[in-house]
Amino acid sequence: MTPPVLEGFEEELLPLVQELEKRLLELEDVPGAESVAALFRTTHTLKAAAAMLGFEEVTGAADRMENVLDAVRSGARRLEQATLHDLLGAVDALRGLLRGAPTEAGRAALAALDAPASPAGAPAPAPPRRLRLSLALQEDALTRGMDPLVLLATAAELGTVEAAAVDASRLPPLEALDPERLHLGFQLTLSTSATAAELRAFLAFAESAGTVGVEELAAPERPEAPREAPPAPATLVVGAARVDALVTLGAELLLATSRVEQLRAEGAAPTDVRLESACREALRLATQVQEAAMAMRLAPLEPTFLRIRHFVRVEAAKLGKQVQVELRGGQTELDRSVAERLLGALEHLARNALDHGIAPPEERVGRGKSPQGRLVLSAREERGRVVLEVEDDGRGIDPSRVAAAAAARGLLPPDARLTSEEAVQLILQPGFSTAERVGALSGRGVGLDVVRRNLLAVGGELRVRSQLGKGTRFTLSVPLTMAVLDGLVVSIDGERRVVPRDAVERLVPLELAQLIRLPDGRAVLQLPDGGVPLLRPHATQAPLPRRGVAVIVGTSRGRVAIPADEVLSQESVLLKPLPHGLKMAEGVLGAAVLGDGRVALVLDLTALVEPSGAAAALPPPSVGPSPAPAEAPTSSSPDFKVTTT
Amino acid sequence: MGARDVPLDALPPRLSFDGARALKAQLLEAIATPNPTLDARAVTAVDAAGLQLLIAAARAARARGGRLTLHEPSPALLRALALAGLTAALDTAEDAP
Repeated sequence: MTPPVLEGFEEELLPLVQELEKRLLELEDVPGAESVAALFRTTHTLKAAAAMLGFEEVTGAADRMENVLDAVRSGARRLEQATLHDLLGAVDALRGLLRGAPTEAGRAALAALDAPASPAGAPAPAPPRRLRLSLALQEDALTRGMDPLVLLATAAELGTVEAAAVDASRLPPLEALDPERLHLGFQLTLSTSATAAELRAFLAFAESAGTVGVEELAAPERPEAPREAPPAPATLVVGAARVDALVTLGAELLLATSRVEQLRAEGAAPTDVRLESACREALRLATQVQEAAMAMRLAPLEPTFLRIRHFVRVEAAKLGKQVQVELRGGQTELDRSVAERLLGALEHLARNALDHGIAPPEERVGRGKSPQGRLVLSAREERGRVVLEVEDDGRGIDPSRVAAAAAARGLLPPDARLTSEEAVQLILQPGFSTAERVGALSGRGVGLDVVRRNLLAVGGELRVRSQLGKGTRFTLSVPLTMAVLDGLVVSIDGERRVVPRDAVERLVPLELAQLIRLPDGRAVLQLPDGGVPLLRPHATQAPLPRRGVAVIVGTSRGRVAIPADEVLSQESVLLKPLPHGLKMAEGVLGAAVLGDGRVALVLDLTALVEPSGAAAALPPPSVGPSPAPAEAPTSSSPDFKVTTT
Repeated sequence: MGARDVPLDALPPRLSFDGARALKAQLLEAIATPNPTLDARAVTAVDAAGLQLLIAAARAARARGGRLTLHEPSPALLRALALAGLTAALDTAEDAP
């Protein structure tokens, strides 16, 4: 990319790109001249701003979009779904360019904009050719107004110049040179999608002035190894109000701490009321600073939702299905990094609903439903977590089909029968798919377990409810933010571990606990309201623990008792992903920096709890019931270094 | 230009057929100095007539044991040099010493 005139101003353009995207997605709902005009204006503003800052590629991309919109505005081009799709692709490309890492897909979308609005199935771009252009014009070419440099520049427009050379062998010494006669020959090697004949035709007007040779060279060797774009530095666009609030709080905090310092310098005793109050004030402000800083990571989910809706419309049209997409709670805010990871999961679930859930119109009508299917995407905040739902009114999950598929894979005996709940548990297992055919969208062996795993990585959970013939609802629950976690710090086999506080139901001293061993070797802790399996790496052999405390935690997959030596503290910890290169162990959510600066691993509870219900019928779960598997490179080094990102 | 005492000999905006004779005269004068440096910032248009004069001047300077330097060539000049594959052949200087 051409280095921009003003580097570091990429972020200035991002809000415009976002607005562009929003308007495009709105246009889908409210098509109309006014929306197109608004979109055109935004594109134009972006183009002007990019040009001013020297972002040539962005300027060029915006220009291409502007051309398309202009044609739509003037009625020369109809705004079709495909055009809208290309424009959205171009927005992605813009975003990539601004991050300094344009994607191939983005470039393709930009190229698609240039294609004339053709009837379905635009021709694939021709593979690049190498053409060599040779110009040997007569000496009087200049007097006849034929400038070889103009010809070269014209040809260069058709592609990329690979090589250029001048033949000055007939150039007389300066003293003897007749400056009005041409003494130079030229050669230009071009990488282009044009054919030799096209280039020749393009330059035909010059043939009266001499020889214009065009030949096609052997296909270019493409040493172009897949260019791995360097990871773009993560940038956030934050509203000015939020930054201002943080700045103000920072100043107040500074004042409060200097007040503490001043009192100390004056020799105030630790019991001094003034000192105590100043400390409390500083702490209060520090908490507020932290909250304000966290708020910067939050962004509404709406753009994510709009993208999913667009995706559903495009894909439904391909499948010949009719789907109405309803969005609820788009204003719900979520940590941006979590939202980014959710996009894939939501897309997958929407895809699933389209492929397997919502039936074609005829089938729906046959079942007494409206021909148009319904897909509801909703979000709401619930006690520090964001709950998202993807619900369709389609076929629902058929337990008998799931049972048959499981039997075919040897997971269940052939005559097994499943309850609705068991069927749901089963489809969340790795590699399980009931897709009978390889669908255009899903069914490629990438199952719901991938969605589940991605969610687990951000501390999320996935629940499924389905009613045969009525529909399916997927419920995703993710922490509002990844960065701060209320945790219970416990010691397990001498190592410090953090248990997310939300999940802790109660603590039971093991001395008093009723522990029993099941015939299969697992230990269960008896509580008044039922048995809770005991988590233990070597559950089957080790003697039952009689000392310490059992931390009873609840997850969507059931309860589990974690035996700990002792509970050390309860604190808000800063959660960080494990340093790059360290494999994330099963059952580990990340690392946390504790109040004293030491580092502890945070347990990922959902991964530690065996699925209930169908579990007994399944092969051994891939998630071992171990809080810290021995092979985890990090588990035995309590003080490994965590690099801040 | 800062440290330079003598102002540079500046190339005209158009290095083209129209002013070719004047340009040739200017270049002949320039190559009379050992290491001629030409201020190329103002150049807005170049055609083959201008280009061949620059090449000839560069050769002449080299024949005299010196070299022709184009000081801060304008985008128009750089583009012309690129189309002829000469970007590396001519000495250009971002900032003359």
